[in-house]
Amino acid sequence: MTETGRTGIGAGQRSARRILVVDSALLIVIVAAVHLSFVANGQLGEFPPWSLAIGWLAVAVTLLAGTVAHRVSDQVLRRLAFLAAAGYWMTIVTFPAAVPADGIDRIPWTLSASGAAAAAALVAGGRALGWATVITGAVAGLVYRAIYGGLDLDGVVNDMQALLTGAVICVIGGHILAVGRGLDREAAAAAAAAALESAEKGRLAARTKAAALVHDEVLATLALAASGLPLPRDRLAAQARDAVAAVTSLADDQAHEPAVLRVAVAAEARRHGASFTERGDSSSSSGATSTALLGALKQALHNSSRHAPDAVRSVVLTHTDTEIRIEIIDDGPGFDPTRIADDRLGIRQSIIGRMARLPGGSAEIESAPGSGTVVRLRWAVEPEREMTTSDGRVALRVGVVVVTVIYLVTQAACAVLAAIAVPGSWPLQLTQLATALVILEILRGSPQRVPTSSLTALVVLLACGGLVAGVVAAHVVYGMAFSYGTTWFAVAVAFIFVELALRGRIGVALAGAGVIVAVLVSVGVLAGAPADQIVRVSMRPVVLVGLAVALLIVVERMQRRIIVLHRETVASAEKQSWALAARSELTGRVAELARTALPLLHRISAGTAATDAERSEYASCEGDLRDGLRAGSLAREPLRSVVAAARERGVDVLLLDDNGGFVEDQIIDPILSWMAETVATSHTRAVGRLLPPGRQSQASLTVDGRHIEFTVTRVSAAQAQPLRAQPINSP
Amino acid sequence: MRATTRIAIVDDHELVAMAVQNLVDEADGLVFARHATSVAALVRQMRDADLVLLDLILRDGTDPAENVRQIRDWGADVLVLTSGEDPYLVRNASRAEVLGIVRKSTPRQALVAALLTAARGELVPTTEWASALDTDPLLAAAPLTFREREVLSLYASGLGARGVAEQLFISENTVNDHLRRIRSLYHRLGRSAATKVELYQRGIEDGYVQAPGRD
Repeated sequence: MTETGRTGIGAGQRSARRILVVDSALLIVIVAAVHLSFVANGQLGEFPPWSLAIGWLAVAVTLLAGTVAHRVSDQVLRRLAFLAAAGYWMTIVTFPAAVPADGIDRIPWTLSASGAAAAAALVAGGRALGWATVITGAVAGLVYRAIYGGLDLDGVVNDMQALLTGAVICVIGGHILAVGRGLDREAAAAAAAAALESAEKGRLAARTKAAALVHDEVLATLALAASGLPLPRDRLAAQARDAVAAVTSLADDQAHEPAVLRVAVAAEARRHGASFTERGDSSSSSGATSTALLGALKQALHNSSRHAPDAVRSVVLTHTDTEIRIEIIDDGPGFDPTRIADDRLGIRQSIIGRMARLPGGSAEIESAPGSGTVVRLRWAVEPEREMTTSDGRVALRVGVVVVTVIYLVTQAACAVLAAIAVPGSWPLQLTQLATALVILEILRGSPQRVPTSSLTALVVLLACGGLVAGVVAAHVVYGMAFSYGTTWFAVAVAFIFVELALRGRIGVALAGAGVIVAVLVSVGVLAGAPADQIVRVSMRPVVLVGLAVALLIVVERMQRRIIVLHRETVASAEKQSWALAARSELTGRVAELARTALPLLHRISAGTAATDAERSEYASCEGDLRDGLRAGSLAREPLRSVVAAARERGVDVLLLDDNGGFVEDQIIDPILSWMAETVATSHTRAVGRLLPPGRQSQASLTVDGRHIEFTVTRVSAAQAQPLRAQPINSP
Repeated sequence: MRATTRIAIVDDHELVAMAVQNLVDEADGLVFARHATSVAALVRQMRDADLVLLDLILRDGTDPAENVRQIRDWGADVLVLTSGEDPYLVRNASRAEVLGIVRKSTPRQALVAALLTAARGELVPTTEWASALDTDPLLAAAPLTFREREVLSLYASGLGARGVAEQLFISENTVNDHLRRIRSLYHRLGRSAATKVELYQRGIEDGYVQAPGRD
């Protein structure tokens, strides 16, 4: 899965690669230090200078890459990593040509650096190159040892454990790269959501401003036309023409903006005399989706009107998490849908075909003679991305399985070799292998990813106990020398701590690594081994656990960042949909303005003298539009038509919703009827007001100087109880 | 007390100015001074008006409160004319030093009465003005007495000073005193709230900031 040449590398991936390169450099420092201790002891054969040069070049490039990782571009970094990885491959490939005539007792030291090589290869060419490097290194090591000598316990154990370290790095490093990619995806999604949000916000702000100005223009014109003041008629007509132009251009602008589905569906339903209901929260849909849905809706309504002209029609728009659904329902004569002739283009093409062409769209028709018709248009909402980077997790799980298999094979090989190398020690080697496998099995059986404290304690106890028992037995019972090979199981135990770290027990893992080092150092000192030998033996477990922990901490931080970004995306999307809903509200208001005010404005612009009736009509329309801004929940029937009639009688009616949407629907309805009853009798002035929450009453009404309030008397629990029969005190 | 009050109007629409001129010509003691389409154009000249009728929404996008401030600095009283705007703009203007907020579609006699009251430099309390104040979260925390809140609420419900007085069994003068105190308190709040609170509120009203209780 290489990614060479892919454009648009994000910050997450870049930092994942930098971390791996730095990691590779750290590993190479450790390996080089160990190697130099061999050089100091003169334990190396004579290699030709060119061969040494290749090895040192690989080291130098790796170090260079690690040093400049945070200062160079991603491209340069990958080239350096590629050069380093190429250096390791070269040492492996050219090794046979460089072998001295007198043979060797050690294979090229760079082969021990397969962890560093794996990290560099991961950066240069992704997981595939990483694994190829690790496996080639291990195989080449064994083959060269077999051919050129050095196939001893220490050497083979070294190769095995190097293979294991490399595999661990490939898995965790690959995981880091995957998480980095996930991070970038999430960041891109967050940025896109923020951009959409601000675009929608800007659109809303611009539209609010434009609508306010147009509204102002229309209201002023209508108020003037209604006032009956002696104004020049041509000037009034010109003002009305300006207002018409403003309303028309606002409505046209609106048509060019992304359609707000709800508004368009409601308008379409109204055009065909159908009732409109919306269920669920308005979600956003793309332009193509809206166009297809609206086209099909139009056709369905058209068909319904044609075939069932007298039917009651309703349109229901439903938003769910998974789909947007529009149902067109009529109670007309119905028909048999299986018998739609192909030539009935209306249904076949315009409804079913149109919806089928829309990705995620479908249409169904439910009808039977005599039982009405339901046309259902559906569009499946694109599934939202999972919050966790699931692909990364799957890859990690596969990787862990692969590493576990490698672990089993390498540790079994080490145990067998050790048993062969030290005859009679097989009970020890077998016990060590069995202990490690049992512990891993216990961990695998843990129901949660993070094992419980008691389970962790058991694992640590078994691992450390096994290790101490093992080294003591090896050196006291079997009298083995302190070396890499005879303490192979220290790495086996270290891997158990890596597993604990992978399962979230990072602190325990580090402490375990400390115990391993302490045990190895004490045994080494007691056995009188040279210091450099002790350091070399202790190094591998430390590197294995330390590296795994460091990389896992990085992964965890990246994942936290992903979650934060994801929340930001969700928040942006919410704000966007809020702005969208507000804009759709506004769009509806403009549509209302165009519907009610335009005919009157056209009449005023004709420049003829207005009759009293017309002036009342202007006043009524002006009041109605004002209600759109200020009357809120009061701008409903039955109050609305009573208010319109009062205004036509010349009453100055003012409706104020000062409640802010806290009043419940079941309270609003009685308030509307209550107000309507009194407003119907008004002569000069009426002010209806929904009071702010927290007042004693819910609404007030002042008609011609008379003030009344509406209070919902809540029935208390005591009152609600049925009356008890009074005990009769008979004398 | 002036013998005649000169009245200027700032409005985008010339026709509105002509309508106002009609009303002014009818009333005793009022003289029409001038029509300007922006506050900048008005105050550019020497002061030639005692009372300015200011349109709440001007096409040049200027802020109502800032417009009021400029006219006050110029030396004239301000009466704001509205078409029936949202309470946010009404509050914004109310917090500045205005005599009142009057709807353009107010019946003629009431409009003339409002002009005459404002010409005397007196407060012109209207239902719209009281309603915008009564619902202003800023005023909810202000040190108003219970009686003052009662007066404001009743006034916002459409009653005039006499109606409020009858409801509360107090004199009309007392009602007017309460209204004056509410107005001056609101102006003081307006000055201190010019920055942060205003921005926050605007945010809520524009929907950019989540209002408490909206979610």
